Amino acid sequence: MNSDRQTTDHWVVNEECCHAIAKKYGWPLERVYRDREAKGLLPVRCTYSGNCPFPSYGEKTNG
Amino acid sequence: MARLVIFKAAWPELRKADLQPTFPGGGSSDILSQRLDYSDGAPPRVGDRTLEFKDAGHLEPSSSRLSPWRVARVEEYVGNTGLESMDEVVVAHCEYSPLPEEENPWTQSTMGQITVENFGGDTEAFTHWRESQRVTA
Repeated sequence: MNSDRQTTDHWVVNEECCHAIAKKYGWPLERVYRDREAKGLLPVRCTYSGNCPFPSYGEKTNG
Repeated sequence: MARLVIFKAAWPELRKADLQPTFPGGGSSDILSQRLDYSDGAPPRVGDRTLEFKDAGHLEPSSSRLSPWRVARVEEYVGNTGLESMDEVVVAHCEYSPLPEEENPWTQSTMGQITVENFGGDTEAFTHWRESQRVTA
């Protein structure tokens, strides 16, 4: 668990999106944080353990 | 594999850390954090540490480092009907064991690229956002 301390952040529309993405790609979801002062469309940050880019960009997914 | 990990600490350990987590109604909590793990990775082991985080601005990456909480005991509960939302629930009991500041630097998180996934699959919202990001000359 602690051998890989790299994390990846994705900003999303809501908290359930963090969970849906974790389940879809098989990622470990470490933290869900809502920026209450965010004025943009993506106010929630999902933090996943490891290197977790979306696969459509040609990079390997975290397993 | 869907695994829910709950990191807890005994009350004396929380007092040692001068930490008083609470539930939404204000009641005292002994839960430090939780992790929802859909990977095929191993559950936490004795000696592992949770992470602590430092937030930055909107659409900026956070930073993290090892927290002062070290796993001292692990209990695993496995679903037995096949109908559970989680295959496994792990309770990781932690003890307070702070690291020297100079040996525990912060690491910035990698930022994922924004795609339609960030909008829950809403292509219209994603397209609208993408259009708003275009810089006009």
